[in-house]
Amino acid sequence: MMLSEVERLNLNNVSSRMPQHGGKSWKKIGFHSGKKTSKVRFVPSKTKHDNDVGVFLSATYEEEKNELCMWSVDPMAQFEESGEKLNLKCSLNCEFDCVDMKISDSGRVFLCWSDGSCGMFTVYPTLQPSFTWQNLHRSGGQLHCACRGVDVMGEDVVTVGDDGKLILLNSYNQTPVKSIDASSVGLTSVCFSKHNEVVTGNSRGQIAFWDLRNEGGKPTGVLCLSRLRGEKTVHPTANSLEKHPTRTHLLLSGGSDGCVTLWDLRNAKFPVEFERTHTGPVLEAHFHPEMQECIVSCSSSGDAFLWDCSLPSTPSTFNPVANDQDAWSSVGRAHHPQVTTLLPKVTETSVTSLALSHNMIVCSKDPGFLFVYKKQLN
Amino acid sequence: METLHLSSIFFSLELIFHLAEILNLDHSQTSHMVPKLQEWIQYYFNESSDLADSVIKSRDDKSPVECNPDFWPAVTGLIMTAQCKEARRLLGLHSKKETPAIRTLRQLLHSKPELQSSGGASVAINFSVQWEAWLKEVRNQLISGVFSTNQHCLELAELLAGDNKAEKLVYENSETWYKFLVTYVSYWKPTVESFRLGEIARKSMERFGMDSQMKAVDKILLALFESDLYQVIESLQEFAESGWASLHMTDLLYHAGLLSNVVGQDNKIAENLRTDLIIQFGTLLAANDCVWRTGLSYLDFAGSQGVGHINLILQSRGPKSAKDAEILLYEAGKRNLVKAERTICSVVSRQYLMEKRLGSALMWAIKGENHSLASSVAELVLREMAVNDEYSISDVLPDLGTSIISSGHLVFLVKYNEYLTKYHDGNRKEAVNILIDLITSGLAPPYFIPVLLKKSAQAAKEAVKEFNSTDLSNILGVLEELVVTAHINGTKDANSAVACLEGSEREIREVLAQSICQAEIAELAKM
Repeated sequence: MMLSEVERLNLNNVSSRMPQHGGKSWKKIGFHSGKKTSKVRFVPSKTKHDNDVGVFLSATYEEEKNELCMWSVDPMAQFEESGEKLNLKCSLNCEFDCVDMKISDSGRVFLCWSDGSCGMFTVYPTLQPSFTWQNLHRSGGQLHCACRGVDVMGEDVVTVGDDGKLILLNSYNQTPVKSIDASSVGLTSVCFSKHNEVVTGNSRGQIAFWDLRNEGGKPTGVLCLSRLRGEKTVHPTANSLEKHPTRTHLLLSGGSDGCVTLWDLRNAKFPVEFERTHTGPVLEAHFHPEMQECIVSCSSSGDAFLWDCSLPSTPSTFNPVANDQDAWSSVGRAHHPQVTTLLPKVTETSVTSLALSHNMIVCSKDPGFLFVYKKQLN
Repeated sequence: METLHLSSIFFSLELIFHLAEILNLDHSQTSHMVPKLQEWIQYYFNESSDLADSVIKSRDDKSPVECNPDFWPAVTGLIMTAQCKEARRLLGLHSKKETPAIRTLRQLLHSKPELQSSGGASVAINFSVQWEAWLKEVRNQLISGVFSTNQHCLELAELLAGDNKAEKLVYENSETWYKFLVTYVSYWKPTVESFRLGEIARKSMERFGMDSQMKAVDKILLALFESDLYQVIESLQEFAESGWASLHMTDLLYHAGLLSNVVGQDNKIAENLRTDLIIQFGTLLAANDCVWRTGLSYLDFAGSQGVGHINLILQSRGPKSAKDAEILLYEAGKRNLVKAERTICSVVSRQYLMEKRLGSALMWAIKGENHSLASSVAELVLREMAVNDEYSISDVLPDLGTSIISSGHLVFLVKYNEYLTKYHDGNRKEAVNILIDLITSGLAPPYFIPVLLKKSAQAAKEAVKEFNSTDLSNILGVLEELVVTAHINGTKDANSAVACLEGSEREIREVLAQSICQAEIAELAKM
């Protein structure tokens, strides 16, 4: 098929606007062609050596028979064009489309389904279903009400859905703990900000902060993704929200207007917008778990980018950035991120999801491709 | 079972496309067919190489390699598929390789001239000269009887010489007529031109008795050899029912500029044929829930007809969920299909309206620029507020932007929400100004006036200094008008505005009257 010709392109293809920065490059080590995948996530591993075999999960959507699959990939394996080095370890059948997936550090997997329920699975010793909270998000009519986002912190799990509800669950409890009518429009993404505090995004471009200990149904703060584009006000859907793993004042959002926005919550009035790079809705944006100053994002227009926000090693006379200045505070103002293209963009089919581990990235692209890349230091 | 069936179809399609490439796309005045046909057969039918490999691997010291029953079939197969170097190498493992028969055969294989696939007439002429010389050498060796000691070598030498006696050997060792064809042209007609291949193909098929038993693949391959591209496309359509193969073949020929030859030198007909096939295949995919977006990307290449189909598909494909609708919107927006965007948004908005999810209904109505629908939703919200004194969609009202201008109800709703927010936040002065505007502007729907009057009374009680006497008088005037109008019309039904005021009318009058006095006193004091 056509795509096998494409994969021979040099992966270090860089957008002509922005050169590659630093010594990091990515080598393809795995490829699979199969069902349309909506989410891929790495199973957290206890050790972080470069040669460790990686294990990740993929969940499908819009298929006659949807599946949740577990794969292992060996970073040391030699990749041949005609061969597959992705080892399918097991798969489970699922009735509905997967809309979101998160894996906790303890190996519990939480999946959001398109029928409004949320399923919990365990990874160790093998992938198996644990419990499903049915009908968490419900509609009264013909439009299905999907569970759109999930996040987990410790035992606590939060889900959001098209019905505008924010629901708090506990991994050991089959009854939801709390339900908040958070928005009159559908909620599309959620993440834990700290214990008891949650951030939600809705389809109107509003990002709201909630203290779960409060009784009232009012957020403690609201940010806005809406902006004026020409003569019209655009209200992008907040498709993706993520907090930085260590710097809790940093929040990343991916919007349906193709913009990746970085918020410093200490100074939230002036977010940094990485725009005009994705030409379609951003589906996911993540902080890299190991490369502390890198962001990855993917979109419906077929792009996947790595944004390296670290300070330039040799400050130019035009951008005199002090060596001890924080890269995150000055990115977008004193210096610009360097962007690398992760996937050769041949067709405009969506890159639906990215999974990140310390040394590998998995990209899922419609209609049914999985690409695995390994980081190589030059 | 199904996978096996599908992979055999895929294999056949690859075979066909590769041959089409050789005969039509790669083709130029200077290219020679035979080396390419040899490559084609070697790529898809490499059983001889595999057999040779297995013979070599199974070698041991106990018995000579030629005792392996696969040895001579492997050598024969390699020579038939023009892999002479490999055949020679295998023969070199023979325990009696120094005997005259084998040594001579190996030498002939070594000196056999190879034709390059490109190079033009001069290369062909050089090759012919060398070939004739080599053939003469082979025939001389045959006549000399050096091969008489070894029947296999004799048969293979006859094949190299293009002797008719070898034709039976080739026939017996060819699984298919096209393998036979390639061997035949390799040794009997090494400089054959492409236009003669049709004739040779027919003869090969007759030899195999294929006339009555032609399978679809055979029909297509024959049509390719005969350069009957129309037949190729037609047969592909029957062969692989989804139409993928015939579409891509037509498309390739179109881009190579060969399609107009197929349809009688008419570019317009060629384009129409291609467009029709694209639409056929694209709409087939678009009807499938899994690959409908791929269908749209095919239809993108069908010009204005394709755009029409995409428009229709996007508008008639009922979104099953909000996420579905977002994807449909994206596909429509990518192609600037404004009407489709509006239709999708309106459909979703109406569905949310039926479910009484007013916030989502309003949001989608505004997205779709459906002013009347947005107005209807706003009215429903206002009616809800008139009855319940609270409403569910306060979170989306603040930043609706410029889209509200299209609907009076929406403007009113946003302003009222602004009043409530400011009042609640303690910004009484601005809130009161908004309230006064709302009451006196005439924008308020009749059923909502009682709400405004009650709010005015409440605000007057709590923050009288923010009002001036004129405004308060105007508000009282509105109350009077309401009561008088109802009295004149004689309406006493439960839903009328006056009925909503029942009970609080007196209280509102008292509050307003007192507030007017207070305001006038305050104004006099300032003077």
